[in-house]
Amino acid sequence: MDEDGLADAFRTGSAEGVRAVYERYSGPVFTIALRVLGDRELAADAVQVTFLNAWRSCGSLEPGRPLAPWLFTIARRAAIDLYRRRARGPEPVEPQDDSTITLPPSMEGIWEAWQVRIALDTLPEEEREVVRAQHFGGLSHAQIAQQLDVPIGTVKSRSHRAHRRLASMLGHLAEAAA
Amino acid sequence: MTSQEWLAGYLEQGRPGAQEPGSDAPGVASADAAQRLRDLLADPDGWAEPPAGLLDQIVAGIDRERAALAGPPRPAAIPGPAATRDGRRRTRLRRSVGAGAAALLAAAAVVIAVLVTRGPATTDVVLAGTRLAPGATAAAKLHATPSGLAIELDVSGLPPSPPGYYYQAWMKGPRGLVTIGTFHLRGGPGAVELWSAVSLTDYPTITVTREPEDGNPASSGQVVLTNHP
Repeated sequence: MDEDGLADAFRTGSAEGVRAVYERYSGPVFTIALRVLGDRELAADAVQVTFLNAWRSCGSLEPGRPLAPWLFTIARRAAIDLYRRRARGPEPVEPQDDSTITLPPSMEGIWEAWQVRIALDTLPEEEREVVRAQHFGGLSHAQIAQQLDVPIGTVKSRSHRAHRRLASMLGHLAEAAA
Repeated sequence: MTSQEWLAGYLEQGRPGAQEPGSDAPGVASADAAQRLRDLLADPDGWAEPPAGLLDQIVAGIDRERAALAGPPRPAAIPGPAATRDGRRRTRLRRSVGAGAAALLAAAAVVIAVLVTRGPATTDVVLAGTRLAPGATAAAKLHATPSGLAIELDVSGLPPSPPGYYYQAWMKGPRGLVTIGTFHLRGGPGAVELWSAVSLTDYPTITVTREPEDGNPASSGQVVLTNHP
């Protein structure tokens, strides 16, 4: 389903539409929730709140308006709200150590993390697993080839294609900072 | 070399292995941005997946909300001891609790409802189940007395505490946490009588936690019901 179809399906508020949007965007929503909250359980709560709030607000999603930035706004707000609520007084109550108080990531940082996650999720699976093994796993091409049981040339070509795709999708973030 | 080719090389190989950019290559600021993007590719958050079953919870929440919007809430949603009282009061309690339940469903367990039902001395507060007890709800009736705040907590959907565990109710505010009683529900769901020496104004959050019988008086943090989810 393309982006317009996804937005249309979601706008109807149907369970199918919600499922389709969840399949596409639950990963990016979870990523930015984790960046803001630093806790898997709270981040899962933020994902839940995000999709419920999005469903409630789907009537405000105007036709032709892109879904991703709209959902990002809702997700970021949900995560920040949970962050502030936790900062006000988490359970259990324990002595608060001022040295451990941290500020949530910047808007730009959260937006970049969102964009990168969407770009990664857009990669074909065989390219995504190479990128994951390389960057997240810290493996060399030779090690990836061994792990995936494919020739090293295949790994290199997948890696090359994947990074060209990523550069194409994320180039505007590098240009914006120039 | 185009900027995009340079970025692809940078993302793939990093600064040491990246090809030297040509005359149209990005500047230092872009190199910093490229490094940030490369760091994000290695960030565990960027690869994390939400827990299994979350979609089902979301869909269930939407279904509950849709049902609530489709019609008035059922009075049985939050049963209480008011069933044995006079009809006028029962109707009023059902109306207020029902309204609270609707709000609760409408926010998919993320809503607070505080309704004054019997003059300024009595306040009703609706508590929602957390992820530890998603089917639980409770309606607390707070009544000011000369000795303190009498709280009648009508609980539904919360299982009896297993052996070795009990439930503990708390009021929390900027000044801290005050326990207002413990209970187990092993006789079935229903009303629990609690007492508080602090006010809802100063301690606006009411929670119920699941506690192990371990001699530790501090909250376990395992919140099963709250009016501030």
